[in-house]
Amino acid sequence: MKHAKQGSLIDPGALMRIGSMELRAKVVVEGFWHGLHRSPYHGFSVEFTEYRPYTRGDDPRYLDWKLFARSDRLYIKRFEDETNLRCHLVLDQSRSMGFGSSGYSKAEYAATLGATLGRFLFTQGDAVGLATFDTDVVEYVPARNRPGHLQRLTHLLDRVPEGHSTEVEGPLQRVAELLEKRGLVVLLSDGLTDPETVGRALGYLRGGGHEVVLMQVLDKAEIDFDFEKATHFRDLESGEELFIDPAVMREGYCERMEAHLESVKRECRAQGVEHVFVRTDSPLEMVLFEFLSGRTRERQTGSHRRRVNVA
Amino acid sequence: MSFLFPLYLLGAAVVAIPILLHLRRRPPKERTEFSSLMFLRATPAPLKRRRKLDQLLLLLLRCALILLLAFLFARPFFRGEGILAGAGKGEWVVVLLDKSGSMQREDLWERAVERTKSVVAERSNVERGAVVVFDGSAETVMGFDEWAQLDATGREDAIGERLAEKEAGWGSSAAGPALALAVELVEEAQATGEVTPESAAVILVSDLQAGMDFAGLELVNWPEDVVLELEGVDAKSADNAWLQLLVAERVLAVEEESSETAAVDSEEGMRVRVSNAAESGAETFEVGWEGGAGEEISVMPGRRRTVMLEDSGEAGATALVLAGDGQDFDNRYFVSRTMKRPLRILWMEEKEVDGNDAAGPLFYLSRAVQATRLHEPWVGQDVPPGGRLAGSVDFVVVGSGLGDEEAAMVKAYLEGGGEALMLLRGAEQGALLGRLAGMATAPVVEDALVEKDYVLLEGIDFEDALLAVFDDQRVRNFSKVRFWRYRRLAEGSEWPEGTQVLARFDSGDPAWLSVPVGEGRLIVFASGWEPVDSQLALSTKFVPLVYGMLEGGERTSGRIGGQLLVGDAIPVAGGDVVWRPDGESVTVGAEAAYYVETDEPGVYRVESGDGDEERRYAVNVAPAESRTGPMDPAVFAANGVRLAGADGVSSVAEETVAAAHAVAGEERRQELLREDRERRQRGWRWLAIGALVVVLLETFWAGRASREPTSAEAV
Repeated sequence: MKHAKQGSLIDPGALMRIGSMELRAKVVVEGFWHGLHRSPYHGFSVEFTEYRPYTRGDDPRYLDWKLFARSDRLYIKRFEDETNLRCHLVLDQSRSMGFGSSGYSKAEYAATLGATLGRFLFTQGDAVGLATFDTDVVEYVPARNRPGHLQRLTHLLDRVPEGHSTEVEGPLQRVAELLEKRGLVVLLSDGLTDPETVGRALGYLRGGGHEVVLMQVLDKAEIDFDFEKATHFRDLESGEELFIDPAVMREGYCERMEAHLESVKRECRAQGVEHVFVRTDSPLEMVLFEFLSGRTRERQTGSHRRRVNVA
Repeated sequence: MSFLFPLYLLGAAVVAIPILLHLRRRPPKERTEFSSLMFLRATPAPLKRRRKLDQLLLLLLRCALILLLAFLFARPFFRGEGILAGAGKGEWVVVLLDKSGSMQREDLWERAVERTKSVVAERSNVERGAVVVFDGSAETVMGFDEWAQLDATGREDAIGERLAEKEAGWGSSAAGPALALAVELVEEAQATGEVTPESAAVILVSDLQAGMDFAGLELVNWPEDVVLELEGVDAKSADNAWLQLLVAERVLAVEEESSETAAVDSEEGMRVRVSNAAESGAETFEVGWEGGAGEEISVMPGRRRTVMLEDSGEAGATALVLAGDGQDFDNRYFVSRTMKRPLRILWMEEKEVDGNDAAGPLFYLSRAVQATRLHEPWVGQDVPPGGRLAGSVDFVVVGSGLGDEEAAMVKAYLEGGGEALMLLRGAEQGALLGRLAGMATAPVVEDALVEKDYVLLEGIDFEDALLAVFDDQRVRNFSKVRFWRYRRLAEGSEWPEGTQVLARFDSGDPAWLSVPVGEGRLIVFASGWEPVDSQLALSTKFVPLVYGMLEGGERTSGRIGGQLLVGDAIPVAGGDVVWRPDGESVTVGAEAAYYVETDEPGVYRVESGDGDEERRYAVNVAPAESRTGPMDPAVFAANGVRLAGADGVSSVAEETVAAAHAVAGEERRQELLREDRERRQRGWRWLAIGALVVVLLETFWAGRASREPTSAEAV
C-alpha cells in the first residue's frame, strides 16, 4: 500500500531541499490534510476536541444529545471528557544520526518528521513539547499550545546534531523526570545501541505513565549495506576505523542488523511501546499516516483506557 | 663530466623515499563514514598481484625524476675540450688591462696583473692574442703579430716581463675607447689576414668601478662573434671619499651659476666639495691643507657636501688632504693656487670713449669682465708703447673705423695669431674690415632697416670655440636676445677662405662672422651689444660670450685656472721648462705647444724659457676615478656588447658583473670558469626537459592506475 501511494507523495529528497524546517513541516501537513479530505481514511486522528454539525453518515453514537436537547441542533461532539493530548517529541541528536546516504542525514529526516508531527498535532490544538538529547538532554521545551510555540520548536529542530555516542538510558531517564504531566512521547532515534539499554530507557518513560512511540529512523544504506568499494569504515561516534569489504561483509551485516531490529522490537513489545520502523527514503506523509493508523490500532486493541473514535 | 654544484648530487639520496614507500604495503586511503560499526567485522586487506608491474613502472619513473632533478641542480658539464685544454685553433683573444687611477687602490694592480697573466696562461695557445693596457690612453703590450711569432711559453714570458715593468697609472678609465680598440684590432686582423676567427673574446681585466668611462662605445658596432668577458678585481674596502675644488669647475655656460661662482671666487675661501661613495661605511672625514689642521666634516654615504675652506695661504701647501676613508689614492687634491693672470683687453676706437657711458658698448664689456681669483682683467684704450700688440694685450676690440697706423697694428696682431673682435657700428667701417680681412675689395656695409620690430639670431654655430660654451640644450636658447639695429654686409664680397658665419639674423643677413687672418682670426659682429642696437649686453648670454672670446685657446682644455686632470695638456711655448711633481724637469721642444705627459697628480710648474714667468698647473686624478662603486652593467646591453654567456640580456649582465665583482682569489675564478663552461653547454636544459617528460609520464601512468577500479591496492 505504501509503495503504491508513493507516486503522489512528496519525495523526501525534494522535501529536504526546502531550507526552512517550518516550511517543510507545513508542506507535509497541509498535503496530508488535503489528502485526508479526498481519501477514504478521513477521520484518522488522535483526538478531536471540537463540535461539528452532524452530517449524514456520521456515527449517531457521537451525537451530543445534551446540546440537541438544548438547541435542537445535531452536533457531533468529540472527546468532550478528555483533556488535550500532550505530545513530547524526543529527538536523538547523537553523531550516528548524522549519517545519510541520500543527500540528507537521518537527523535531518528525523527533525523534519518531528516538526511534521508537531505541526500536525499543534494544528489540532494539542500541546507539543520537545526534548533533544545526545549524551545528555540538550534542549527541553515543555508541551504548550500557544501562538509562536511551534516556531520555537521548529527552530530547535533545525539544529545540527553535535553529540557523540548514543547514550539512551541516562537522557531518557532525565526526560522522564522532566515530563510533569502524562502524555504521548514520540522518541525519534536510530536505536543503534544495545537493545537492552533501549528497553530500559523506554521503561523509564513508560514508568512515568506516558504512552511511548519509538520511531526508529534508519538510512537505506544501514539496512541494505549496499556499499561497493572496500574501504576503511569509520564509526561516526567512536571514530574507530575498520577495513571492510562490503562484498564479503554484506550478508553478515544484514543478519546482524535484522537481529538487532528484532531485539529492539522485542524490547518495545515488552515495555508496551509502539515501534515504528522508518526508512529515510520513505515519504513523510506515509510515515505520518502509518503513525496515525498505528495509534488507532492500538486504541482498538484496547490497550488504552480512553475511548477511541474512528470516523 | 664535472658538476658545478656537486653537493646537490646528495639530493639523489632522496630516491630511497619512493622505494621505501613502494615496499611498504599500504591499504587504501579512502574513508567511508558510517553510523556505527557495531554490526561490522574487519576484513583483511587483500593484495592484488596484478598491479605490481604497473607500480614498478611508477616507481622507476619517480626514481628517475628524483635523479634527474638532483643532476639538474648539480649542473653537470663536460670538461672535454673546454677553453683550458683547448687547442685554441681559430680562437682570438684581446686582453684589456685597466691601469686607471682607481687601480691604485690596495693591491688591485698587482692582482690585476696576476689575473692577466693567468688569463694569458690559460689561453696561451689560442691562435691570436693581444694584451692592451689602458687608462686614458691605450698601450699595446703585445699585438697579434708578435703573438703569432712566439710560442706559448714565449708569449707568457714576454707578457709577464712587460707587465712587471708597468705600474698602475693615474689616468681615467677610458673603457669605451679601449673596447673600441679591441674590436678594431680584431676587425683589422680579420680584414688584413682575410681570416675569420671561430671565436673571438675581449677580456676586460679591471676593477669595474662606477667611474669607468664608456663614452665612445656607442659608436662601436659590436661584432656578433666577439664576446666580452669580464675579469673583475675588487678592493676589500668600499669606503671612499674624494674632494673637488668647485672654483675650478666653474662652468660659465650655466647661467644661474655664473654670477654666484664669480662672487664666491673673489672671496678668500675655497669651495670644496666632499663626496662620499654610496657603498662607503665611513661618514666622518677630515679635510684641510696638507700639513695644516683639518676640519672635521661628516658626509652620509652616497651624498656630497660643499664646505668653505679658508685659503690660509700657507706657504708651500699645494694640496688639500682628506683623511678618514679607506682608499687614499684620491685623497690629495692639488690646487694650483695660481696667481692671477692679467687679462688685457684693448679697446680701439678713433676717438676717446667714456667707459662709464651706459649707451656705449665699452661700458658693458668692462663690467662683464671682473677680477676673479684667476684673472686680473684690464680693459682700456691705451695702446702699448711701441705699437706691438702681440704679447702685450690678450684681446682687441675694434669699435669703429681706425687710422692707418692703428689698422696696421691690429692687422699685424691678427696675423701673429691674435684674436680681435670688430663691432660694425657704421657704414664707414667697410674699408677697415676689408683691410683687416685682407680682401681685395672692401665689403659694403650698410645700415639695415629692421622691418619688423626686431630680429633674432638663428643658425648659430655652436661648434665654434667662441660659442661652444652654449653647446648645451639648456642654454642654447637665444630667442630672448633681440636686435633692432644692425649693419648689413652686402652680398658679392669675396671673403677670405675659411670665413664662417657663426650666426645669422632671422632676416638672413650674417650676424657674427669669423674671418681667419693669418694665424689669428677676426670676429665680426654686425650689431653692437649696447641697448641702442640690441639686448645682447643685458642678456644672460653676454658674459659667457665675452669669456668665450677671451679664453680662446685656453678654453679648449675645458678648464680654467690651472686645474687640470691627469692626461690633460699643459699649454707651453717653445723653450719652457716643465717641473714635474716628482722634481724632474723637462725642457720642451721649440715646436711644442703642449706638454702632455701629465701622468701623475701633482703640481706642474712651467717656467718660461727666460725664467721670467712661472705658471703652476695642478693636475688631479679624474673625479670619475673616485667613484669606486660597482659599475652599471646596463651599458653593455645598451651598446650591444655581447657579454660572455649573457646573450646581451641585461639581467644576466648584471649577474656577470656582480659575479666578477665578487671574485676573491683564484678559487672563485675557477668557479667562474666552470660556471661559464656550464653556461655554454647548458646541460641542465636537457635535464629539465627530461624531468618534465618523466613528470608527464608519471602523471599519466598514475592517473591510469588510479582510474582502474580496485578494492584494495598496494603501492
